[in-house]
Amino acid sequence: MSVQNIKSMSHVSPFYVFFLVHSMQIGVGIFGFQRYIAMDAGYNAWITVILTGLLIHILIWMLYRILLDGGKPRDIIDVHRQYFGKYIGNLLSWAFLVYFLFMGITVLRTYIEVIQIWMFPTLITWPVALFFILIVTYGIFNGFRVVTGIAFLGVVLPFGLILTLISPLEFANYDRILPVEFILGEQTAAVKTMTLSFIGFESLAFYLPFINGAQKSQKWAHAGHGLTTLMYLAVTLVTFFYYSRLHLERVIYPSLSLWKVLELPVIERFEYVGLSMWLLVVMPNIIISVWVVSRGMKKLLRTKQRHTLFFTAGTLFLFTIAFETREAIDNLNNHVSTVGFYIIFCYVPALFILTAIIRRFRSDGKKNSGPSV
Amino acid sequence: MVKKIRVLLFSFLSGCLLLTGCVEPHILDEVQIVHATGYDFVDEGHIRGTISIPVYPPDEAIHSETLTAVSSATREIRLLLDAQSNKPLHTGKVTVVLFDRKLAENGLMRIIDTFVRDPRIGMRIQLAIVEGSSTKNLLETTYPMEVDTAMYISELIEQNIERQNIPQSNFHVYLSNFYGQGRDPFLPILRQEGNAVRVTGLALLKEDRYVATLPLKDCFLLKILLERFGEGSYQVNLNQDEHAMLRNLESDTDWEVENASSNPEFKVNVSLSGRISEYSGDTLGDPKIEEIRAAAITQLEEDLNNLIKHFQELNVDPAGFGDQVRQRDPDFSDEEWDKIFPDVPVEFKVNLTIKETGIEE
Repeated sequence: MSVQNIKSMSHVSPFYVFFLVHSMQIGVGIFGFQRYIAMDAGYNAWITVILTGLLIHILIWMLYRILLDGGKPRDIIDVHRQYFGKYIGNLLSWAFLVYFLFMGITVLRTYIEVIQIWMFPTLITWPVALFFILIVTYGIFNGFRVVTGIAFLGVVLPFGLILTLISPLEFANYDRILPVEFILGEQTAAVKTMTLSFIGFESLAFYLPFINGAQKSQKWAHAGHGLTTLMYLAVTLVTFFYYSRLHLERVIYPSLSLWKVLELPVIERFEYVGLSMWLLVVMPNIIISVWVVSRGMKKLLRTKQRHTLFFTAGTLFLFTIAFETREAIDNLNNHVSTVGFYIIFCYVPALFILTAIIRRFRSDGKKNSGPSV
Repeated sequence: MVKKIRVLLFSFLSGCLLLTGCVEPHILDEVQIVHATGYDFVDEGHIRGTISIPVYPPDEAIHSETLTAVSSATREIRLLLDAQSNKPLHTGKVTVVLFDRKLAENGLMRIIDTFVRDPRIGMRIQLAIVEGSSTKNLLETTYPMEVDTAMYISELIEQNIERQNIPQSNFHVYLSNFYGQGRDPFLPILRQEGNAVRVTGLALLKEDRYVATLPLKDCFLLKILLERFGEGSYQVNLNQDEHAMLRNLESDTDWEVENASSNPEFKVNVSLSGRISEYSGDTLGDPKIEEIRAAAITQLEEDLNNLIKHFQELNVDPAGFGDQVRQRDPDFSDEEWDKIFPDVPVEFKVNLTIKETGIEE
């Protein structure tokens, strides 16, 4: 069960996959995804959330079939090497690392942008980015367990924010989602958009060997993704009840604007509290991305993770401060999302089919080899 | 080596804590907090903006002061107001935004746009239209009821929404009616009377333009159509000098729409329950209550019919009849609805339960 080349000190129990998957999916996308899916599928888009959620369950299952070879967990780098050989395989792995690096950049830069828009217009990007990256580096420096710990806290501590969804219901008009229709064309477009909010779980492909009893973790991965789906569904429904459709199309961050209606006796504007708490939600996103990149580079370059970590952190910092305008940040989000979409909806199924073929071929060769797909 | 790096990182992180003071501070004593804003029509292309700020003079009671500027754009008004203020103006505490009726006739959205974009503006602030005087006059006057003018006005509106005949209204409700398909927005109307302000009714708007006024007594009818639990009062006339007052009415409106996609026909069932709070006659026996109930139902049905006729003549739809059609017709469009709304047949059916008659027979 255990993997020899990784010290068991850095292993975590399967249960934590729940937090790793869930925390990586929820990030800055939740601030505004409802607007985009509503543009694709109108107020029937809440069906899309459920639909996409179900589709991704299948992809998680596929990912586990690819990564678990006869019960032994391996990471995507091993898979690439085995299927495509050293050179092409490593090249594909590098592509993955670049993708994860940009995912980290996107989350960090978008979060800083939101703070600049909503709280402190005069805030300079680089000190905040530096502060973030130092915490992230400090965390990863102490191993995968700390990364998992941050993911755990990033789910548990801000969980209370879900209660803030109750306040907008004072102005809810439940009839807004009527008439309910299912139009396939609309839904397909919206599924593509919605997928972007679920990406991040594919980091599983890198940390699975660090899970004690990786096989047992699959149910937790599904549960973590299930919670994400439920949360997105709740946020979508509350948004739809609260905004009229044409209004929603004009609001850039509908979830944040929801907080504008929340009034507490001591705090006039809840955004300040909410956005600060969101730091805890964003942190796992960045820390897992950076961990993936540094870990992947370590394996590909056969060097110490400490070195690759500093390199990754430096690159992350430089790229983050390079994006200045709303447009540039929006483009960055779009590009990373598009790449993410193709990775999980095209590459993962392709790899799955390839795995199935290879295993069938192998079990035909030697009759007694491990279980097929 | 590892230890050294750890120490280095740790000291870096602690150093970062010092960076947290990197943004412009807003200390309460060093900003002017704007509590209310008013906009008046000056001429085509010019608006006058007035802001109300609370001042805290030493050894004296708090009172509100106003600043005024005239310009063609709201952003420039802000600039001119800032030019008159000793401390930077802060808009995070605005509770009321007022508009002159003349300005409302010319459209509100170009002014409201500034507030929509400002992340510091909350969604519960009250918007209202002022008639009879300018918003400048209304904000300049000191009201004995409350030291802070803005507080007086916003609490006045909120009280009328929560306990009286005005339907739920605030910035968010306005926006969602404005953008909502098959709905038209409305805003409370204020009138200054001596050293008090009175809510005189609702301004009905088409798009963002003032169309007509709905008197306070009719606002109740709109409220029962819009909300489930409407508190308010309604007078029933039995004959010349005999009348009863109904209060605390809970309403449940059930909409039936036939042929939604072609020629919509409405059947609206309004179920009300409430208590009699006032009766001008001698005793309230069971037969009398029944008589009042029957009279109230006839009168309500008549009033509701007149109300919808009035809306149809003006072609405004604050009650959301169009929204009911939208729920049943996926191809609903506002343009189409504007054309058919004036001739749509509507039938009201009122059901009334009288729960209590007060503490005396």
